Amino acid sequence: MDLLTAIKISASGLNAQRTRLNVLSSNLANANSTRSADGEGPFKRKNPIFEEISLGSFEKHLDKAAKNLSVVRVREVVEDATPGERIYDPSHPDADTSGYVTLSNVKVVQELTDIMATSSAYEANITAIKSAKDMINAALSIGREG
Amino acid sequence: MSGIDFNAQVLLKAMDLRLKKHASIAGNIANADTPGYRPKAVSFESELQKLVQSGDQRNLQRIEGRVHTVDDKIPRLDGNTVSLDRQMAAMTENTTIYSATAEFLKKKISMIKKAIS
Repeated sequence: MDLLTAIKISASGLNAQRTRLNVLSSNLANANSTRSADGEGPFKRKNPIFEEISLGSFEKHLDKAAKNLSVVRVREVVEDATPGERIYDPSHPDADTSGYVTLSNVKVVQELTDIMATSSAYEANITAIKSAKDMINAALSIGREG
Repeated sequence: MSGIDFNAQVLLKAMDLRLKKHASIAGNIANADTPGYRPKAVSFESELQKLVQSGDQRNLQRIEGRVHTVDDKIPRLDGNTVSLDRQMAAMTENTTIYSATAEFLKKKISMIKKAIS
């Protein structure tokens, strides 16, 4: 257990939340996309899934105390399979043979509230890093003048 | 470490354990959105207090702090039981006590320095 372990843990949290923010931004940006990157159907909203990783496997040389602590990472980004709304617009290039266009299944309000939650979780990790920094400074001040 | 007096050793140990506690809280905050995650807490206070009261110097290094799972609240739909507010409060408390401990140790060392000179 060294002084920087806590900062590493919080950094993994920052990393995961930032990835989540990227995914949510992509969802929001593509809210009106009627064609996905692979050309099959409309854009489907993506959802990042987080996973707990034991610090023991993350940092092999750490002492046994670290085994009980955990960092976080994004395990995978899954696609939401919920079907999107269908509207009648025969002039649309992505309309099917009966003239209906399937829109993306992104709900803008949901993405926005998720972005707010991500932002506050990110800030919580920043605060944890600041606290760790304060603690390190307090420990270092023991050596100063005295 | 056995060269310095017992009180200073206890302060050092307490700082060590508080650091570990901070790492566990940081892990809980980092995992605040992980499905199925349950927060971990490090407890050592009562153990350390008992040891200080008995004045048993030899067993001081043996205190490692127990890591156990404590749910902050009823599980969310994804099974996560972390309450960010509680963790932030615990973190603030821990950091403050850590700084206070460091300050005590600093005073202790300055007293020893004075005695030497």
